[in-house]
Amino acid sequence: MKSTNKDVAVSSRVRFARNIADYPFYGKCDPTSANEIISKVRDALGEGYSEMDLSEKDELTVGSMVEDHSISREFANSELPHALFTSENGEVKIMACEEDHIRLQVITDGLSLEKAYEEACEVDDLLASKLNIAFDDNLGYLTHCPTNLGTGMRASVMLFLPALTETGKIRSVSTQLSKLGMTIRGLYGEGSEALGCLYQVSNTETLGVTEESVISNLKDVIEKLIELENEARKRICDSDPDRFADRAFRSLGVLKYSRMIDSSEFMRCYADIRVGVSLGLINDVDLDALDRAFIEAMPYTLMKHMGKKADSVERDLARAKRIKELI
Amino acid sequence: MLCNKCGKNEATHFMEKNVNGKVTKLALCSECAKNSEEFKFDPFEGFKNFNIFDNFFGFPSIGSGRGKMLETAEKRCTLCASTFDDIVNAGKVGCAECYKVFADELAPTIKRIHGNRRHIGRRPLRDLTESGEEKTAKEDKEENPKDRIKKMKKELNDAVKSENYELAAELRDKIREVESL
Repeated sequence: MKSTNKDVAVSSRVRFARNIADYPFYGKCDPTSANEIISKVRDALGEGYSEMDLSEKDELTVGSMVEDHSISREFANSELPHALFTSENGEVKIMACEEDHIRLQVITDGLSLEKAYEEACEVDDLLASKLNIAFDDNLGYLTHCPTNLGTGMRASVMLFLPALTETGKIRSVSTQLSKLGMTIRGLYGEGSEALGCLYQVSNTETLGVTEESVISNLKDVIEKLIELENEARKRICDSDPDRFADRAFRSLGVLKYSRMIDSSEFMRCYADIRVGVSLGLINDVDLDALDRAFIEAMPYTLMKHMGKKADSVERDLARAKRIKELI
Repeated sequence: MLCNKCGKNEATHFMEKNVNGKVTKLALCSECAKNSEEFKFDPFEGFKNFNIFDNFFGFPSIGSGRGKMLETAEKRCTLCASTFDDIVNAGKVGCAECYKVFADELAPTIKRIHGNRRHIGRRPLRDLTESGEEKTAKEDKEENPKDRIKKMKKELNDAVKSENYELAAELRDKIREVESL
């Protein structure tokens, strides 16, 4: 766990956008073509992948899959036939008929971009050996949206940055990253507050760069950010030793004793407790269990567990109960 | 693509006219388009119908100035039947073939997003060489065939000048091989 810096880097993701040359892209695709594309992807992947026809699935299942990042929101809302293929270990997911015909994504634990990239390349090669992938020597992989031309790759790392958030350093980080062809965004929250102190750093450049250089530069930047976050945490601990501890235990108290809790309050508590666990202040909460609770407490995942659609009051009651079961 | 009229600025306004099968094309920069009788372009009309992709594709969307400009255009993609207006309105490209059919029209947008760049990354596996090795050689990653041929021809000239005919023969064969692809 230490080697992947999981207390700061939550997960890594590599995504490839690919299209089959002989079929129109999403906006011009009809249901017959979409079914043919799904069938071609199925045949190309062969054994070792489970298939889920998303068009047949209920709202709660699909919603919970968006929440745990198994699929994109656009994919969930697609009006065409669309299917998800998942590898046996669950790390490789192939969305057939998303915005692009194929969206291949690999999500791995902690900071493990190279591993995610290698796995993605393996499946990409398998698909390309069987399918006529749309490609141009100058423009690279041809994609529905021209912003993805070139590598068609987005690599990203989900980061937990409570101390850089607290000290306001995030803003200068954001400015510097844009100069490096990368971007940082708060993953949750509607305003400027990044709920849960969770951020996503990803590449913005796809044309005129190699995948290896993107992965390597991103990794270097993430390692630097981890270093900065750890330094900021240390500074806060040195100057105000009780601040993190008080917040962590106070939030733990809320989760232990509250009977109703809404999403945003839970996400704030999650961030406080996660810092406490990372700094070794709280020993009886497991980081993986806490991260799992973060997903399980989301509306659709929660309602799926409840087995029914529920209003916000019912959800807040169920959330408080569910969290107690998980941590 | 440079403006057909001034030859200085990047062309941002395109018109294709089909009169009884006779097709004429015109590509102008915004300054020349403003003064062009053929476009009769109201520079403010685009703002009345603003959509997010106006800036993205560099054109006002359909129903505005551009709609008038291309009312006679009949160019359609051979695979998905998209017109360039369809692409501008959707903010997305219709199919892989559109990138070829509308290469000139899309070029300014691609340049705006990515700059003057060429792909140097991975390639689909079907581009394997006969020996089964992926094209990872530096020259393959950094140059397109035309640039490669140009470079090899220069090397060939240098080889002849220095009377290195063995190398010259090797280069001649390589050039033929690339040209035949």
